Amino acid sequence: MNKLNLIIRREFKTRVKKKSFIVLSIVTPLIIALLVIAPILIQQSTFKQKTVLVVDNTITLGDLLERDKSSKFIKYVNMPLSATIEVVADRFENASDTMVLHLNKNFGIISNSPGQLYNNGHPGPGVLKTIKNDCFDIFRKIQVYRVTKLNLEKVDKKLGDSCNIQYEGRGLNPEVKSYLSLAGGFLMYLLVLIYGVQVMKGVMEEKTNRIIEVILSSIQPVKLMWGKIIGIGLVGISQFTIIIITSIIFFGAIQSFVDIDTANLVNDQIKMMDSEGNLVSANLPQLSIEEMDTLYAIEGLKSYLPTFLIIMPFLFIGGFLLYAAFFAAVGSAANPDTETQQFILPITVPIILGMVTATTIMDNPSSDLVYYTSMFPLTSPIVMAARLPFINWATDWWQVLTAILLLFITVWLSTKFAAKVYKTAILMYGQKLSYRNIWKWFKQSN
Amino acid sequence: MRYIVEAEKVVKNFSNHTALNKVTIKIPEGCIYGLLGPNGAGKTTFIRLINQISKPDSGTVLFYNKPLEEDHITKIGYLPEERGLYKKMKVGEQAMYLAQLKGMNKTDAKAKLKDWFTKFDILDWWNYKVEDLSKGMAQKIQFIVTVVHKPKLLILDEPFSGFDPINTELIKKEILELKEKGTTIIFSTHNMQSVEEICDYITLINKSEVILQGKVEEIKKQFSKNEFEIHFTGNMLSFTTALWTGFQLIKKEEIQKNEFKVTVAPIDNQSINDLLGSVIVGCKVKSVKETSASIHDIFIRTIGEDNLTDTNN
Repeated sequence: MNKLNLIIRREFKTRVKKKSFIVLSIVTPLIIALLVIAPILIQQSTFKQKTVLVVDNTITLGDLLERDKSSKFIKYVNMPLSATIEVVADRFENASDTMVLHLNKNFGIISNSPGQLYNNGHPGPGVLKTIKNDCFDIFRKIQVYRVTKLNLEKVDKKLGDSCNIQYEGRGLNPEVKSYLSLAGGFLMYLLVLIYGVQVMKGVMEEKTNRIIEVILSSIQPVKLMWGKIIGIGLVGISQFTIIIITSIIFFGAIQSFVDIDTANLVNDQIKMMDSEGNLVSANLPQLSIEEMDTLYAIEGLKSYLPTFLIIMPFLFIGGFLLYAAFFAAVGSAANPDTETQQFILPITVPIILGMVTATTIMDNPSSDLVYYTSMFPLTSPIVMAARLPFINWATDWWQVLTAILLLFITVWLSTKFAAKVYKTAILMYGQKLSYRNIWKWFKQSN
Repeated sequence: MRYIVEAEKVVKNFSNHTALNKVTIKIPEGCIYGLLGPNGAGKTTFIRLINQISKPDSGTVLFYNKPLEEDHITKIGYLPEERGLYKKMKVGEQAMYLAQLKGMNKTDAKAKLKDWFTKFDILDWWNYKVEDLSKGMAQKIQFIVTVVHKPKLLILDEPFSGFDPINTELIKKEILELKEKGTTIIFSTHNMQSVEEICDYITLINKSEVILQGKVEEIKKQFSKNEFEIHFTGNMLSFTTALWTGFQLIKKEEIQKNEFKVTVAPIDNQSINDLLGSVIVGCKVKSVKETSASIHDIFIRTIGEDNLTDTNN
């Protein structure tokens, strides 16, 4: 069997067989799935319908609140005129889901005459805000009607709660683009960082174990280095594939198990948050617009997929090789007891910078910073991965090609540099890890 | 004579020193060749050249009359002084990996490894993790993976360091057995006793240069001090009287009353027979042997002289 193949297989097999690999591959998706599901579950459990008993001295507001503002989350009940605030508050003193709202006769008219809300538990800022908005909305409509005889409710009903702007530009929906951009950049960042460090650790392990000389008597140092980089790179790609696939499976399983209609929940949340001046949202054709958006998103994803599948592997391979080579060089130059931290830092700085720039792409995809960092080989794997959804292929195709070309030229140089350092440094024991020594070993190698 | 390795005027420089300076070493096929020298002399650098771990700056290294090429690696077995194993890997799995790296196919590697494991009575360890093995146990594995692919040339760098006496004997026996089967062995060591016991040839390297080279017997002869050790019973006075034949007394040791071991040396070119002729008149000679220099002495003397020359220069 080809020796390089043998090395790659060993590097791959020993890592994949480790418990940590299996645990990470299963636990990570579980965590991701839980992270998505948990807030929804929490929302579901906390968004129990609350009853607000309205003791209304304005005579008009309470009735309208009960009629127009009762929703899935808050049910307004207008108390009879005979009920005084003392009686009602005393009666519901110990009820946890019931609140008492007192509106005095000057409510809204005199600014220092606020309504009062009595509750035993803590209603939460969302509930407070909704009650406040509901009261103001009704009050506003009454005042407008009094002055202009204009029925705001009817006007609102006619107008709907918002106007819709459909994105008709080229390519993907901007929101979908943002998610894809962030996901691409982050994936790249993790791959380079986690598995780059693994390459360094693997190289150091062989040196510390003193098995290196035995291995080197069977295979050339450069081949060994390549075997290690490729083997570990494949572990990274496999792990990410497994994580993504199992995440989807877990998510599906949990979703069907707890039976959450996420679309509806999200929709409800939106309604809850946007309740300002929104009287009859349930009657509006909201769902169909969302359905349309989803359809657009799916269509967009489909059109983005070929780009993703063709370009991302280049960026993945280039970025990983580039950094793995640096990490391998540091690993080979390190001694068992040396502190490698200060040598890792210069390598990780461009990676982190790349990630930071990638997060700005969503808001400003065509900034100069984004343009240059997506071309600069040390940051391009991450920034270009994040920029990819925003690329206009008709005009910007050359930028992607140039970035990839520059990246691979740098990969060629960095792996040559790493191989030279590696070849000499891997057999050096007891010498200090310093930039001077790394340079010396680079020059010494023939 | 057929040589397995011929290194001719090999030079290897590192950035701040020369590790090998015009070193010429020819290793005959089928022998055990000792590579001696103090730490930092250049032994390991020379071994690494043969193993193609590094390349010479100038000079040639031939393997069976051909310049070194990648394929030669499979014909060489190398046990470095600093040897290790992957701690987290299982013994069998690791042995298989190393054997395959030496060019063996899977089936062959497994069969041969099982043979060796059985021979060393360690077949039970196949599924152990290396980190669970003792140092001695790990050394046995290291020896096996060095020889499993039946190398033509076996390079052992300090093979006995860290071995207990039982394992040392076991490995020594295996080395001699391999030599019987035609394997050439390069033996780099500080252990002079083992050199005397098993080496046919030696090269002594000091400060990157060869300072002594040849057959062990011939070198010992060359360094012979022309002294004789005589073991006798009788009167010491009559023995000393016999020395008038032209010998001087170097050392005297009284073993018990009237029993002595003495070392004598001829003053000119007298024959030991002349001395014995006179001695046997008054004493009973039990044994006579020519005292030869030990490799240890030769090592110390040569290195010492070499260093002295350097200092004087």
